[in-house]
Amino acid sequence: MLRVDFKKQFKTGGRVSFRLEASFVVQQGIAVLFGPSGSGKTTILRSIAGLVIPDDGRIELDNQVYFDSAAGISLPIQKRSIGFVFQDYLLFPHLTALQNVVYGIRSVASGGRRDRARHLLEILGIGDTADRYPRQLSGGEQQRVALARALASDPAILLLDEPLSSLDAATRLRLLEEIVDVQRKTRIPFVYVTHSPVDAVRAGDSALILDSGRIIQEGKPLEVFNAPRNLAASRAVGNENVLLGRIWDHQEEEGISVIDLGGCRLVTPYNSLRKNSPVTIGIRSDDIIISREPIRQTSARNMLEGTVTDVVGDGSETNVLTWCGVSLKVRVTAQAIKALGLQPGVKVYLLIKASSCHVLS
Amino acid sequence: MIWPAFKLSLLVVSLTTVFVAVVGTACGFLLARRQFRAKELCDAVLTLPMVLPPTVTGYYLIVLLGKRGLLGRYLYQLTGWTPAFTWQGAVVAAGVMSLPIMVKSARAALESVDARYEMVSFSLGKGEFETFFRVTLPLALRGLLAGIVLTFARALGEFGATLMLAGNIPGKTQTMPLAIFEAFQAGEDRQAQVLALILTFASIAAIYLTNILTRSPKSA
Amino acid sequence: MDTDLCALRLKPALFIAFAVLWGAATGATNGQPRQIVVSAAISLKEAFSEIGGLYQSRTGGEVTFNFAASGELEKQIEAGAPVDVFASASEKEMDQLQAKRLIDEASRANFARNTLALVIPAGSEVALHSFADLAWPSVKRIAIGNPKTVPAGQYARQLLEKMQLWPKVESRLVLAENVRQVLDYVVRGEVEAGIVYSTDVQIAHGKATLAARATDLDVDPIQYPIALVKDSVNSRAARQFVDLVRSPEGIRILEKHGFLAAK
Repeated sequence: MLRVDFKKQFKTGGRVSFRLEASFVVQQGIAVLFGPSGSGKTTILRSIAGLVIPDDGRIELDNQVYFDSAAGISLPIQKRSIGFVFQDYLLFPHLTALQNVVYGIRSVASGGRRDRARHLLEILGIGDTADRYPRQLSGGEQQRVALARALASDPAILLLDEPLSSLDAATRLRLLEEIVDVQRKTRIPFVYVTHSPVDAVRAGDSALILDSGRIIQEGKPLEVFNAPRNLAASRAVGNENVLLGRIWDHQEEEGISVIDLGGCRLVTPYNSLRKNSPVTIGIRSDDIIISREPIRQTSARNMLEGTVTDVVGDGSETNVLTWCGVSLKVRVTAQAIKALGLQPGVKVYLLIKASSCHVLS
Repeated sequence: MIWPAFKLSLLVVSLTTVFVAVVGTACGFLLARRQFRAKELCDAVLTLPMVLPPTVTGYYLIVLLGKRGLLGRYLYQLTGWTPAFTWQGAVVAAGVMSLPIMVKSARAALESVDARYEMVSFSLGKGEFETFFRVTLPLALRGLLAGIVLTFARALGEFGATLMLAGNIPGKTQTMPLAIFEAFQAGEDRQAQVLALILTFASIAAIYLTNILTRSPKSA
Repeated sequence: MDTDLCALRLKPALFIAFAVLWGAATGATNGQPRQIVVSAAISLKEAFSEIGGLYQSRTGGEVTFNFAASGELEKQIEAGAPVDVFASASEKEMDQLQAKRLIDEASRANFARNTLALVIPAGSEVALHSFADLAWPSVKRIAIGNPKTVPAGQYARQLLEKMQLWPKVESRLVLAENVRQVLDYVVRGEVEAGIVYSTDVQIAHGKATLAARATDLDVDPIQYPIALVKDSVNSRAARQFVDLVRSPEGIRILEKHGFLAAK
C-alpha cells in the first residue's frame, strides 16, 4: 500500500511559480494520475521515486518510510523498492535488450540473472529481441524491454510516466492490455501517469484527476470521467464521455453496429471490429440532447432512459450528470435546466445520434 | 644518447598518460555533472597550462616545487627530495601540461552522455560508483579515448616545462624532445634525425590508434 | 581536417600577418644602415651592453644584442641568422664557423680572458672552500653548463677531469643551457654548488658566494674571440663595433666587469 501526503513549491527567479499538494492512498491495482501537462502528475511520480524531494510531508510504501520531513528521513532513490518506466524508454544504448534487463536484476548469482531476464522478455512476448540493441528495435519493443527492465529489480511498486505517448494507436492498445496483464500477474500496485482518457478508463482501477498542482477528484475512472463532481474536474477531464463496451452486433447493410455497454446498448455507425471484441466509445457531452418526454420519430438512433443524478457547474458551463445504466454527462445551458426543471431524481430521455458515438480504440 | 632518451620518454609518457587519464576524467566528471560556485573558475585554472607559454608554466612549477619552493621546501624537509632535476619531475611537468586537454576532452565527452541514463541506473538500485563505471563511462568512452591519445601526444612532445623543472640531464631527465634539441645544438645531426624519426613514427602510431579506437560502431 | 571554408578564411589572414611582420622586420633594418646585430656569449651581457651604449652615443647607430650560450649562437649563424658580429666564450665555436667559412678570418681576434669560479648559494650549510670539496657526499647536486653546447660547461668538465673529480661527480651533475642558468640554479638553492665564470659572480648581487677560483693550472686559458660574420649587410658599422670592443675604452669596460685582458 502506498501512502502519499506531501507539499512542494517550485520557485523561478525567487518567486513561487508552482505549488504542488498531493495526498492519496493506493491500495492495489493500477492508479491513474490524469491531468493536462504542467498539472504536476509527473512531479508526484518523481517524488515517489525519490527524484524530487518534497518540502514537507510523508511518503511510505508497505510501511517503509521513504520520506518524512518531520523525522528528517529522505531515502535515496537507490534504496527505494521502485521500478520506473520512462516516457522515452531510456534503454541503455550500449547494452543489448537482454543486458538492459539483466542490469536491473538486483540479486541472484550471475547465471541465474540471465535466465530470469530472458524469462521476463518472454513473458512480454519479445524473447527474440534479446541480443539486439535498442536502436534495432521498434518503439513498442523498446517499451516492452523498458518494462521488463523495471520489473527485473523486483520492485514493490511500478511507476509509469506516460509510457505509451510516443507509440502509434494500434501498438498503444496492445501494450496497454499487456500492462494491465502484467499488473494482474505481479500484483504490485502501479501508478500510471497519462493525459489520455482512453488509457485512464481502459487500464485504471482508480483515477486521480490533477489540475494546477492539486488533486480535484478521485474515484473509479468511469465515474470520474463521465460524472465529474465539480467544474474544475469536468474541465480537467474534458467534455468527452468515455465508455467501455463490447461489440454486440453488426448490420452492415443498414450501416450500423450495436455496442453493449453493460448497462445499456448503443447504436453506432458500422465498424468492422469482430463481435464480442472490447471497444472504447466516446460521446461528447454536447452531442447529447435531454428530453423530459420520450421522442420517437427522430434520426437519432439512440434514445436512452435515465435519471438525473446531479447538476454541476455555474451559469457559464453546466453539466447534467445522468445515469442510464452507465454514467453520462450532458452539457446543458442554464436556461434549459430551468426550463425543463432538471434536478436530481428527475426522469429523462437522452437522445444520441449514432454518428456522435466515436470509437476511441 | 638515443636509447636512454627513448627509454626515459617511454617511462615518463606512460606514467603521465595513466595519471592524467584518471585525474583528468575525474575533473571532467566534476565539471560535467556537479554544480558548485567556483566551477568556471576551476575550469579556467585547469585550462591555464594550455594557454600559458610552456616556459611560464615551467617557471611556476619550479617556484612551487624547487628545493626552496613554496611547497618544495616542506617536501624537502620531510623527505630530502624534490621533483626538480628528476624523472618524476619530468612526469609532473608533462602531466601539468597535458592535463588541460584531458580535462576538456573528458568534460565534453561526459557532458554528451544523457544524464537521464544515470537517473535510470539509480532507479534500478545502483549507486553512483557503479553507475559511473557501467553506464556513464562506456557511453563516454570514445571521447575519453580521444582525450587520452591527445594526452599521450602532448606528453611525448613536452619540452619547455620539462626543461625548466626536470632539466636536461642525459640518462636521468633527457627525454626525446630534449635530446633532439641537444643533438641539434651540438651538431650531432645523425642523432637528431634518428630521434626525430622515432617521434614521428610514435605520433603516427598514436593517430592510427585513435582512429581505430574511436571508429563509430556503425561504420563497416 | 578543417573545412574548406576555414582554410579560405585563414589564408588571407595569414598572408596579411606575414606581410605586416615582414614589413616591420625589413623596415627596421632597411631604413638605418648603421644598425647591427651582435651575437655574444651570455657571460658578456653586462659588459657588452655597456659598450653598446657607448657605441650608440659615439656613432648614432643602434646595436641589437643576442645573448645566449656560444654553441647555440653558433648554430644560429650556421642556419643563416642575420648576425653582423659574433663573440664567443671559447675558440671552439669560432673555429667551427671559420672552418665553414662563415666568418671574416682577418677580423678575428681574442679580446678578453676569464677564469672559472666555484659558487655556492649564499648562506648554504654546505660550505665548500675548494673544487676538491665537490667530492663531499653532502654536495647532492652540482650545476655546470652542458659541455656539448656551453663553453663554460666544456671548461668545467675539463677542470673536473684534470682534478680527477669527474668520475665522482658525474652522476650528481645538473646540466644547464647556459652559464647564467647555472648561476640561477645556485641562487635559487636548487643545487649545492655551480661552476661559472668569475665575471658572473657579481651578477648574483650577493645571493651566491664565491667558494674558489680556478687557476691556469686547472684549466686551459679561457679566451674570448670576436669576429665579423661574412656577408654582413652593415660591415662598416660592424667593424666600428669590433674596433670599439678592442679599444682601450672597451678593454676598460671589460676589466670593470671582471674580465682579464687578452694575452
